[in-house]
Amino acid sequence: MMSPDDDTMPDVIALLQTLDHPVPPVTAESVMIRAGAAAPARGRVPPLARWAAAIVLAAGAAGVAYALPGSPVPRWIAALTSRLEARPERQPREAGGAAARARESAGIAVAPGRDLVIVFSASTPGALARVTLGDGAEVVVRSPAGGATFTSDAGRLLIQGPGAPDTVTIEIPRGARRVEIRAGGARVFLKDGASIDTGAARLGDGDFEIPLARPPSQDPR
Amino acid sequence: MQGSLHDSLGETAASFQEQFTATFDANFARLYRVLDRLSGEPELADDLAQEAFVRLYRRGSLPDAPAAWLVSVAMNLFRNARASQGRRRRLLTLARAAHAHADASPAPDEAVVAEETRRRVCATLDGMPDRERRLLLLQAEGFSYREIAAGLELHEASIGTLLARARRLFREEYAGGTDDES
Repeated sequence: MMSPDDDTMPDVIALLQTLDHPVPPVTAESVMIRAGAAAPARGRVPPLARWAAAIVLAAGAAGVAYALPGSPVPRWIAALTSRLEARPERQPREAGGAAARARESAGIAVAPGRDLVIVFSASTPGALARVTLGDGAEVVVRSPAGGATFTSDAGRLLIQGPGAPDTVTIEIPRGARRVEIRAGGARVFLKDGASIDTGAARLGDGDFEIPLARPPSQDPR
Repeated sequence: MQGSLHDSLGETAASFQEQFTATFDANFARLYRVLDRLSGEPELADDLAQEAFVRLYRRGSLPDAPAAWLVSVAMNLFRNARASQGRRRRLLTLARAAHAHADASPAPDEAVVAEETRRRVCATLDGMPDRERRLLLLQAEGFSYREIAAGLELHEASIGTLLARARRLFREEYAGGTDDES
């Protein structure tokens, strides 16, 4: 007889197999077709590759436009360059170029785990967070205007620098256990299991719109 | 230039499709079986398993741990399906089980024993906590500790202990059902 603490479980597996129904005759190709890919091979290009193609083609087109005889593009570039040079020099921001980093960090996806706290580092008048509950497995945060940077560690996601008129979108899996959003030192949104606790306005489509500036009367928890 | 770029993109797409196909071949059947045993509804299990792969395909690239990703998505889909249907998880009925397994055509005595075993296994699973039930079903299909932990949002270090508890619970519940019958 097998000990209840045995590492192997052939007896359990054999019992579970009594429940099985035949596996449906589904193929990867049929799933691809269901996913909307009409052509089974070379038909669907991954999104990243499409972006890469668009950038390369745009760069190529710009180069051709610059090189064409009589093209106004070289004059435009010269005018733009001289205008930029005429501006007072701005103080460099962080080493490595925070602005460039912000543009590159316009979105992030993290697994919510058991408990995730999303923190907006500063109370930003005019900026908004739009929170959606979705069916995905990850919390997805996007800054469409590219004005935010993201830092994540275990159970915590820090968002810095969203400024008006940027609206940060946050998609939270419905199945996530606990996700809290804090702005300006106060909790502004909490999903704990199936319950939602927020003072934010609920929009017609079910999303929540959260101002990222804390009202003076709000009591930080 | 455009020709070579197109070729390059085509190769990227083909490469993704090959990876997707390999992932599908390695995981579809076992994901289906987990969902089938979990729900007791083969049609629902088929639909949810396919939907998980549809989402993987639409993602456009494979995640670092595709099996764990699929488990996580499938479990979310199952939860949502149950919630939207407004139904509680329920036991497989004898009628459903008998219909589903009617092709075995065993001898009458064997058929009675087989049905009784299925009924007891269903009741055993139904009596287990949700987490332990999922752990047991995923391990039975060969998912690794890491994949189970990521898929169920648990700490990998605790999987061994939780699985031992799940197996013990299953055996105790099953033996209890047997004792009750005798």
